[in-house]
Amino acid sequence: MKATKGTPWLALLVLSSDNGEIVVSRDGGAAAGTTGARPVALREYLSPPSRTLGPVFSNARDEGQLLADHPDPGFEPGNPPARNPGIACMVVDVARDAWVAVAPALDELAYLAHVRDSPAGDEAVLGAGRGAFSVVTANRLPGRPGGRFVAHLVSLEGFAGYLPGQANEPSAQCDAVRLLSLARWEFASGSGPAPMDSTRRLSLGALRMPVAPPARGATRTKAEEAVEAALAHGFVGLPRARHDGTRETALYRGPCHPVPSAHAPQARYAKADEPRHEATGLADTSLATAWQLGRLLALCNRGFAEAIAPWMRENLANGYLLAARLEDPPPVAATARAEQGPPAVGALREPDAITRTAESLLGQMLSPDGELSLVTGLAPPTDPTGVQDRHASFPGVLPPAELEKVVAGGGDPHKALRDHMNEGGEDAA
Amino acid sequence: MSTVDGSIEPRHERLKKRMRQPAVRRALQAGPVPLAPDAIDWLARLLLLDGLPFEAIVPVASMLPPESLRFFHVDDHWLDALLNGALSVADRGPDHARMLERLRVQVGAEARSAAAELRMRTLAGAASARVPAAVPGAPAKPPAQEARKPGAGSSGMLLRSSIVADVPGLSVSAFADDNRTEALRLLRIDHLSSTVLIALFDGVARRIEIAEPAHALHFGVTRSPDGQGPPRIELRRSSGPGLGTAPPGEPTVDVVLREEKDEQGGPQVIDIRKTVDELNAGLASAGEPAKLTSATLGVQLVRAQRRAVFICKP
Repeated sequence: MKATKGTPWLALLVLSSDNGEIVVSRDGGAAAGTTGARPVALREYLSPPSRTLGPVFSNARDEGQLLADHPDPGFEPGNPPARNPGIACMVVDVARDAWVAVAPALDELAYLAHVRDSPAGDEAVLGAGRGAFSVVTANRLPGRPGGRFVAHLVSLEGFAGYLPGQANEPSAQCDAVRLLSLARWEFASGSGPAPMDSTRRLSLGALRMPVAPPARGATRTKAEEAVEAALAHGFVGLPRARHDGTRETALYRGPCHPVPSAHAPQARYAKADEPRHEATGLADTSLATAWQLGRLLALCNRGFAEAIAPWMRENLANGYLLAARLEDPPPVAATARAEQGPPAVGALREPDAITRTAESLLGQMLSPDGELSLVTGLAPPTDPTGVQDRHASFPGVLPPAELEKVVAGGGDPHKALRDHMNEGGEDAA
Repeated sequence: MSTVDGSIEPRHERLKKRMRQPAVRRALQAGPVPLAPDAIDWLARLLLLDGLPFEAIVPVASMLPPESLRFFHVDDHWLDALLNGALSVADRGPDHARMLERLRVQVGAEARSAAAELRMRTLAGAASARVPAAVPGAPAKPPAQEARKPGAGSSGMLLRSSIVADVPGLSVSAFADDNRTEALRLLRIDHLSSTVLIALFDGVARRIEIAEPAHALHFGVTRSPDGQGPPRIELRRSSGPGLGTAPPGEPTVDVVLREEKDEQGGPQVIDIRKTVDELNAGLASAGEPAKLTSATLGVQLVRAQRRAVFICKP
């Protein structure tokens, strides 16, 4: 049996930490960690000390070439990387007996590596869910609870001949086999409960504030029942300061309810404490809080503010443009037609087809729900306050017609204005 | 349209002329100016409760005590209010307010559909960055989206437990029924702290499963219950539609070890070659003649990740 092109060159060795299966610090090199892996210079991997086996490449030039490409005369395992220009390898020295006992045979390697294609995509770590994953399986069962083990992912390139059952299986003359450790971790063979066991002890329920059961024999008032019902629907009572500085308890619930939300959209209110919870009569600040939170988060977000200002400006400019250019107010029927979309090509031959198309497009564009068109909805741009045509109805202003009458009659406009205001005052009284 | 004689021609001509103006045509053809995609994505994350203070979601700590799992429905009206509040920064006068009133519906719809896609988009981006497209057998595109009942609203769960920290990469899946037939799309799964996990589903969840991550799926054998005798492998079908299920009779095969060792932690190394021969023989007598490969040996040895199942009572 020889290694073929399809033979994996990766293997996962599970070694016991306490049975001398890993040889540490034989040659006084860098102190090995608890995993037994330590950094050495590339040449010490390719040509290890005596009684330690290193890789044998099928092409002898490979080894020389590797060393020529990466000369590292100054390598000192303790030095920082800047003073070690060459390649450092993490190696693990596996005792000869352990190697013969644990390493997979050449014909077993092909059974111990495959590729897993994961379509799952439901993991909490973004990006770790989907894709092709290489899987390398070890061949050893960690026995004994409490025993400590190290798993080393090793490269077997150049070691095919040393594998158990092969011609060059290491004899007792040799102490260790030096392998490249590509990844490693320690574990203890335990017998305790698995973390997932604690899911059995989880307290389950809907997201709501717990309600203390009533004292034995106690009866509840209507108000207590109403408050409990509110808590059951996810509300909590929180202290808040009213406009006038007095304090009160208001109801609040977040976006997450213990029951499906079946209520109708809330009406508009001028003040945050205006909406009341029906059963308890307490102020319901939930949606006001949500609105305020959205506003504050948006104000914190510079990118959003920078995107939304020009968006609004452009839409308004388009609206003003259309309002100015198509000043004929559209007939009411246009609104109904707006929902039907642009007319067919044949319909465009009718005399007023273009008018209707324009109106229909305008209707679609400006009122997605088909209620109003922008032309009548928006005030002209020269009147940003929208009160210009209502000046006459303001107190303290004489309607132009009346003013003209007074001036034409030779009267005093100021007196007329005073009379006008007094008149209003008396009416109100 | 009923028209008055004489008035139709001038108006018709007038409008025609106006419609020829490039600015008017552009405005009519383009419709409302869309909000920048980044801003839509930010609104979408708001709709997924991303970036909200924890107190806004769980105002009182006793709602989510330690070691608890809480289910919830997401209130669309609350999200609408949140969205309107965010858009209100563009409201600077009566015209702005009227324009916003008209654009809100469209922006809301865009943000909602972006919220539904955000997770899949992020996943697809991460996967395509990591896995070269040429990997044979890699899915070319995300699997077909799970269907969603229209108007079902969304729901979710909050998990506050030490397992959130102890099992990194917990996976959560939700189903609209008790029997795993109707999977719900996962809209968001995120750590709010080292021990609090939030998950949002596109629909109302009836069954929620919390599992160790798929890579906790591992390979192993079954020890005999009394601790005596060799470990065993329960045979599984290695091909066809029943892949991974036990053949009739649930046959088992003893694992062959290289050498019997003492109890003191000596090598318990599986003789893979002989065990595969035993498995092949066992499968052949169970009507599964195919020879094992590394992948189907994996099927025989696989030990699924552990999974906790919760059924939400309505």
